[in-house]
Formats: sequence, C-alpha cells, structure tokens
Amino acid sequence: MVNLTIDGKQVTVSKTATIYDAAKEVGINIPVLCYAKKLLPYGACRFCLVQVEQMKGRLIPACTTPVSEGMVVTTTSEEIQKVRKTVMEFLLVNHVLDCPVCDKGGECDLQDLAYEFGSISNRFEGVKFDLPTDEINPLIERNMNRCVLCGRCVRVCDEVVGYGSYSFINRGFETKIATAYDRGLNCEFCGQCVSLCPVGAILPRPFKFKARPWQIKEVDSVCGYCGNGCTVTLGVLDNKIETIRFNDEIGVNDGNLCIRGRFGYAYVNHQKRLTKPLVRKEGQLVEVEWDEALQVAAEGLSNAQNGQGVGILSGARLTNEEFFLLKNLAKTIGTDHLDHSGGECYKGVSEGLNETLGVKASTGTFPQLESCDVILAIRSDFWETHPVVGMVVNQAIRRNDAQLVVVADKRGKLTKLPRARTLLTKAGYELSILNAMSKVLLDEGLAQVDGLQNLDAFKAALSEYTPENVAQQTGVDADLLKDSARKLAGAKKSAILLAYGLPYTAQSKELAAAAANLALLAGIPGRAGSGLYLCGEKANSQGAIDLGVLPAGNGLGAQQMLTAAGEGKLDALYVIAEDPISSYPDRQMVEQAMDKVGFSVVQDLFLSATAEKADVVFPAASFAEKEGTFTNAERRIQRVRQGIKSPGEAKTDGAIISALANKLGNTLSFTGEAAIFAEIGKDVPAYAEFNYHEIGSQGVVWGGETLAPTRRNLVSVSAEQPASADYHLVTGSALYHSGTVSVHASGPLAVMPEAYVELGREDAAALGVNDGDLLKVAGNGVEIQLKAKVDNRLPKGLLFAPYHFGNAGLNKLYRGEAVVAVSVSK
Amino acid sequence: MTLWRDIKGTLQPFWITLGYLFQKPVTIQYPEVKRTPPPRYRARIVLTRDPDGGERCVACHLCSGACPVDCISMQAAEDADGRRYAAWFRINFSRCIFCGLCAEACPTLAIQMTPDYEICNRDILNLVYEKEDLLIDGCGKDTQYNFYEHAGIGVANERGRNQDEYGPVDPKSLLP
Ligand code: SF4
Ligand code: SF4
Ligand code: SF4
Ligand code: SF4
Ligand code: SF4
Ligand code: FES
Repeated sequence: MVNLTIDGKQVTVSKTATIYDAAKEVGINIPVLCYAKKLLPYGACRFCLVQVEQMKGRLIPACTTPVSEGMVVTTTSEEIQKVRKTVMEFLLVNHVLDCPVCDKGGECDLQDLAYEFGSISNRFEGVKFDLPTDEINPLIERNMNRCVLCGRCVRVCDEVVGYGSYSFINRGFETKIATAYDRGLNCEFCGQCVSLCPVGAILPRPFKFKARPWQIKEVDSVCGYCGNGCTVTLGVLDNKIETIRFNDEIGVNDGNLCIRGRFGYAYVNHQKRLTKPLVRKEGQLVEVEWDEALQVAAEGLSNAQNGQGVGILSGARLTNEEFFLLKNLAKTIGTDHLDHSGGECYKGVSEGLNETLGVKASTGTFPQLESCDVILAIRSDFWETHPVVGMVVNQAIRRNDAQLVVVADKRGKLTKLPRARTLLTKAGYELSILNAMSKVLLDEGLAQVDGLQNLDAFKAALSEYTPENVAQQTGVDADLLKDSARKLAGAKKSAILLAYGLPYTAQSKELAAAAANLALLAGIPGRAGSGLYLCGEKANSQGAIDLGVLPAGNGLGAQQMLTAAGEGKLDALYVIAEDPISSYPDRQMVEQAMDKVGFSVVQDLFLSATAEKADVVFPAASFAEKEGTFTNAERRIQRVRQGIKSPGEAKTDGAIISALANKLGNTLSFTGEAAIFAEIGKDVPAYAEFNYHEIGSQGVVWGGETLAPTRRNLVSVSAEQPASADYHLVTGSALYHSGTVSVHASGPLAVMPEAYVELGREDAAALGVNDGDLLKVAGNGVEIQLKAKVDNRLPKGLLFAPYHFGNAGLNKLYRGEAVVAVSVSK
Repeated sequence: MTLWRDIKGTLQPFWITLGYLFQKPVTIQYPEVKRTPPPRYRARIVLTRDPDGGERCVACHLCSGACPVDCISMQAAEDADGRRYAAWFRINFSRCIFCGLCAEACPTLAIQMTPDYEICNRDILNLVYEKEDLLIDGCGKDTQYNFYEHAGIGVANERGRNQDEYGPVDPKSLLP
C-alpha cells in the first residue's frame, strides 16, 4: 500500500493504482476522455493532467502515472484548468459541429467536457475533414469526422475482444482510425467499440436516430442468451427495447458483451410473438381465452397422468423461481419425467462432474481465469458458445502471458490468439487426447495423486492411451501433447474450459469425466485461482441443474421422454421454452414424438415448429419481461429485471405454470420472486445463504469463488471410435447465434441470415465448390442442401454446420453423434 | 384619528376612479379590436425553414429536452442526402406554458415563438399541433442562418467547405 495526498486529502491505495484511481477513491473527479476502466492506461488525450509536488515544472497525466509514496497531488488549479481548456481547444480544432444531428448528443464525453470547461470559442483554426461514413455493415456505423483519437476502440478490440479490427493510420493532423486497408468494418460485431467510443464516431446502426439518451429508461438485467450471464442494460422507450447498453462500472464481466447480447434484442419486440393462447380445435390451432386454454391443458395433463404419464421438458430460459414452480407443478401432476433442455448434453455436469468431483458446477469464477498461467480449452468452439469468457481468456494471454492450449478438431478464434497452441485432432478424438494427457502426468510423476480414489484402476484403464498411440490415431504431435500436459501440471493457477450444449451431445458425460480426471491430476479442483469450467449453453442451464430440474428416481430424461412418446409409451408432453424439433439431435425422433403423443402443450415466445404440432400453445414472456434470478455458468446468481410489459396476453412462464398448477388443484401460492427464492433455499442449501433483495449488481456466487470438490474420484472413460468416411460433419454453435431464439433477432440475422456448411479450401477445391454454392450433404440416410462457406478454418475432410437454423434441417442428419460420416456433392 | 382615516380610505379610491373615468381606457374591445404584440412576444410556436427552403429542424430533441412541461415530442429520421429531419413533430399547446426555453435551446433556429396568441379552442385535442400545422414557409426571425452551412455533415456544402471551415489539406504537399 502507498500513502499519498490528493488535494489535501490523505489516501492509501495499492501500489498498482494510478493517480486517477487514487483520486476516485476519495471522491475527487479528474476529467478524463481516453481513460476506460477496463483498458490498460494509455494517456492519449491529456485531459487528466494534474500537478505533482515532486515533479514540479510539468503537468502529469493522472490516468497513466502510478502512485508513489508521499506524492502530493493537486488536481485543480488555475494553471491546470487553463491547460485543460487548451487541450479542449486542440480537440475542437477539427471537430465537426454535428451535435444536433449526432446520435451521441446528450451522452457524449466531449460534449460534457466542452460544457464543463465552457469552451465556446477557439483560438486555433485548423482543417476539417471530409471522411466518408463507414456504413458497409448493418450494425455499426463509423463517422471518423467525429473521432477524437482516444484509441479506446483500437484498444478494446485488441486488448479485450482479441479481434484487432482497428488501428491508427497516417500521421499528425491526418491521423485516423482505420480498419485493414481502410475498407470498412467487418468484424464479429460485439459492439465493444460502440460502447467505449466516448464520442459519436462509432454508433449502433439499429438504434440510429431512435431516441436521445435522456428519453431512455435503463434497466440492468442479465443477457438471456448464453451461460455467460453478462449484465445487459435494456434501453427502454415506450415499452419497447430500443437498444442494449452496457455497464462497465458495476456490471458483471466488465460490461463486455458479444453480438448476441448487444444486437440480438430485437426478437423481444418481434411482430410474430405469440400474444394469445392457442388450442387445437378440429385440427386447427385457434386463439382462445386463457381460462379455456388452461382448462384444456389441465384436463389433458391429468388424463395423461392417469394413463401412461406426462413428460415435462423445459428450456433454460426460465428463472430459478420458475424452475421451482415447475418442479412443484411436476409434483402436483405426479410425474417424475422432468428434464431441462439439452437432455444428454449436460450429463457432463450432472453426472460426469458429480461422479468425479461430487459437484455439479464449474469450480472457478470467470474473473479468476484472467490470472491463470495455463488454460486448456477443449474444442475451439468455446469462443462461439461463450464469447465473453473467450474475451477473458484473451486478456489472460495479453495481460498475464497465459499459455493457451486448445484441443480441437478445427481452428477458431481461440486458436488465433497470441501464442495459442492448438492440438489439432481428427474430429471426435478430444477424449483420447485428454486421457493421453492424464497418462503423461501419471507416467512422468507430475500428477498430484494424494487422496485420489480409484487411482490404480484408472492407471490400468489408461494403458492404451500412450501419447504415441493417441498421436498416431488423432494426428496430434506427441511431443506437443506431452509438453502441454507438463505445462498444465506445472502451472500455479490453471483452468480447463469445456462448453456443453445441444450440439455437443456425444459422449458429454465421458468427456467431462476425462476433463475432471485431468483436472484432478493437475491439482486444479479446489485450488484457489484454478478452475474446471463446464459451461452451459443457455442463460440458466446452471440454475436448472442446481434446482434439480432433472429426472427424479425412475423418471425419464429428455431424450428418453421423446423416444417413449414416439413409441406411444407416454401420453402427454409439456414442452417449455424449447423447440426440440428445430434444435434437438434426430429430428425424426422428435417429430414422431410430437405426432404420436396423445396430448401436448408447448409454451414459447413464437409458434415454433414444435408448437405447430401441439394441442395447446401458451404465449410466454421473454427475459426482458420478467423478474427473477438466473445462475450463470460460474454459479453466479443474478437478478433479472423486467424492462417492458409482455405483448398482448402473453404471461411469464412462472405465471403460466402457477395458473396451471392451480387448475390442477395445487393451492400453493407465493407472493413474488423473493418469497420463492427464499423457498428455493430450503431445497437447495447452497442458495439458502442469500437474500433475494440483497443480490447486488455483481450477483452472488454460491459455493464461493473456488468451489471445493467433495470427492476426488478418478473415473475411467474410454473414447468411442468415430465412424470413418471421406467427409465428416460436426455441428456446433456459431458466434452470431445462440440456441434457436436468436434466429428471430434482426441483429444476428443481419450478419448470419441462414444456415450454411463450412468447409476448408482444400476440400472446396477438390469438390469444385465456391463460396455460396449449394452443397448436398448426405448422411444417416438423409440428404440436405446447405450453402457452402469456404475458409481455412477446417482441416481436410471436415465440415461444420451450425445448429441454430431449424428450417435447414441439419438435425435430420445429426443424431447426437460426435461426428457424422457424410458424403458431399455439388 | 381613526374616523379621519376611514373617511380618507373611502373617498380616495373613488377619487382615483373618477380620475380614470376621463382618461383613454387601457382595455380594448377584444375580439372586435385587436392589439399587435411586439415581435418578440412569446406565443404560438412555429417551425421555420432554411433560406434555401429546407426544413431547419434536425430532430435533435433539444427543445423537447428543455421543455419544462414536456409538451414536445418527435421522431428523428434520415434523408437520402444524410440530412436528419423530424419524421413527425408534435407540440401539445394545451400543456405549453410559452416559456420560450425550446426556442432558446434550438441549435438550428428552427423552433421560434410568434406573436400569434389566438390559439384558444373548445376541443383540447385541437391544441395538439402536428408538424404540418407547425411548419411555415419562411425563415422567421433570422433570414440568413442555415445550420448546414456550419455543421460538418456535408449537406449544404461538402464537408469542410463551409464558410467557417478550411478544406482538407494534403500534408504531403508540404514535403520538400
Ligand atoms: S461526437 Fe459529441 S461533440 Fe461531436 S458532434 Fe457528436 S455529440 Fe457533438
Ligand atoms: S464490434 Fe467488436 S470486434 Fe468489431 S471492431 Fe468493435 S470491438 Fe472489434
Ligand atoms: S473512434 Fe471513438 S473510440 Fe475510436 S479513437 Fe475515435 S473517438 Fe476514440
Ligand atoms: S450471449 Fe453470452 S456472452 Fe454474449 S452477451 Fe449474452 S451472456 Fe454475454
Ligand atoms: S431544438 Fe430545434 S432542431 Fe432540435 S428538435 Fe427542437 S426544433 Fe428541431
Ligand atoms: S484520460 Fe489521461 S490522458 Fe486521456
């Protein structure tokens, strides 16, 4: 700690703090323009100049100067103000007078500072520019005439996002921010630069001219897409979400967002949202009143329960409170067939981790990742499924020199990060590589084996997985594999990342167990700062697992329910917040289930492919229309807040479930989310210590920053051999979409409007395929047509198709296997 | 003394009244007779046009932000030439208190107060004026000002070619 004096006030701050940080600590506000909390100090604008007694004779930038013992700082004096005012004049020399027509007006840092310093005239005259506006992409508009060259966009895109779109070009007065070859912006559209630009030089196009900042009501909530749980600030005008803003002061994940969170809000306002309950009459779904729909649903469900039973399948859009009500409903109905969306795919957490570590959640928190020395990412798709965790990994690399090792069948954003080491394997062999790494640790005596159960059996089971064998099988370099394992074991703080979700169903339990084995041998679980991150695909996947929205006793899991329904062994299905026909592996199976089942209720935002086959459809509310809590993939429980009212008569899932339970004779009722949250604590001890009303902007993490494993059990798992063929197809998430909801959002759609199949240049050349050609992909006895996307991400023989677009029918072909053997033709 | 005071207090007002009885009256016979208010009188608000005929209002929301009774609303839109304008613009005169803050806030001199004070109406909804009702064919008080001659937006002139701007220079021309 360092002691210093600022404007006569004594401050004690850590020795890494800058003068600006120290001043902020005691409530002294130093004007800044280029400073941003989440970026490294830069010092471009010179607004923050202060005087330091010990460095007399010149003014010192507060935002870049570290504090030192005994410093005496003056933050305002006549001289300082004069200099700052001059800085302002310099900035305004070539600044356009656009405020009235500039969308930043009202929240522009330059405007605010000009007002603060009373800059109404300028002693200097200079050149104004006539730079064309960059409007080549649909989401972000850049007007470099308004740029003040603070470098915040350049820095955030590099330091945080790791994309590196921007850089300064030219010199002196002519300096400007440009993209590669000054061609206009075409990037991953996370919008971080939009958030950080202090002036109106980078603006969100979907929000252009929509409103002034003071008209907008801001509501901090949680992103409803992935398990990252970023804080999104809903910008509400007239009961409509007009934009998503960010909160880098107090928000989770530093206010970082990805394209889905930033631009994917439009589905909430979509015209096709369901607004009235529907009931099937004479083969047609017709609009009815709530009471009638509830009555029909209640009768149908209780009849079915008296027959062969009811299966309840819920997506992870529901809040914890709604999951609680759902469990209650299941009890009222009397069914054990309850599962949350994903079916097989989350068995990694609920079974794989449970058997090895005795916990059902990631063991670390995301901010800890930044200080890890070695990070092992399984699959390159982690950036696509959880983009903002990817940004933390990027920061770990850039700021703390972390070593990233990616075990993946294809390249991706992660593998492009600096010094990233990619163990590029043949598709479907990740598990073998993890096993081989475990073996290396055991053979070389690097493993931490104290207190591990089943060590001998595990060793024996690994005998096949020598690095050399595995290298031969998978195409990975054996020495690289060994070295990576050694690095992982040698690190003080290390992390293993693995995402799960519908497109990653195959061997999910085994893969998680293999990762957990390796983590145990490397001493990761329970060690402060280290973590094994198994991250769910959806916003509240973790909440569903915590609350036990899982088959109880002899209950059937998601996939089994659907199979049973298809075989006529289940009489009703109640599907909530999920469109299994579009998103589940094996569409035929799901379709058959929906066709054969005697009675089905679907509760969703849109009339999805699944809803079209239902007997009763309830219109539900989106994340922006309800209160409650989500638990993200790092166990952080956060408050979801209502920004707008639901369209028409749509109701929140919680309200629908309660009403249905009432119809079925359950008289239990709760007054508000807080009461339910307290009730959850009785079932889930980890939640008991928190009070709903005390969950702050950073949320609360159950189980502590480092979750201690209750068991250290090695579980031997063996890899399945993927089918061999000339071409293999893998599916997964695309960065621009999440689940099937984002295909209703105009932002993500503007960037990625339709399904595609991606293939490497080599294959494309061999097949004579160009970008955009239609390709026939056949496998599992089904042929579908997809547009080709050619790039150099995929190795020879591998195809990739994202799973979000239900209408493309990818899941006719994909039945939950790690890789699908396919044939491809033009 | 009290009595004297009371008598004085009774007579004096009558005396003053008597004095005024023979003067020219201050009041006029409205509506038969109408008075012309001074040009800076603050009454009905109008939206004016540039000297070249374009709409001055750029829908910047400053007037609506300044309005203490929140009676101005609008929606911004963009023209093909990059000009920002109000897709619709509405003033609710039943709420307006004619304080003039909107006119003061307006950076383009679009919104101006006129001396037309006769806007009473039996139906209060008739006092909601739309853009068509507000927009006039003229510049109002300043016949010269054109925002786009000063802004860098490149509508009236190319960017950087306005009267108070220098055009871009090629710094390489300074090389020896
Ligand atoms: S960037 Fe700020 S100062 Fe510049 S024109 Fe826009 S609002 Fe005005
Ligand atoms: S949107 Fe994101 S990726 Fe694109 S330039 Fe901005 S910061 Fe970089
Ligand atoms: S575009 Fe914005 S963030 Fe980037 S340098 Fe210019 S002013 Fe700063
Ligand atoms: S989709 Fe995930 S990473 Fe993106 S903003 Fe939402 S929570 Fe964050
Ligand atoms: S202040 Fe002037 S330019 Fe701005 S919206 Fe009002 S009338 Fe239009
Ligand atoms: S804020 Fe310190 S130099 Fe810009």
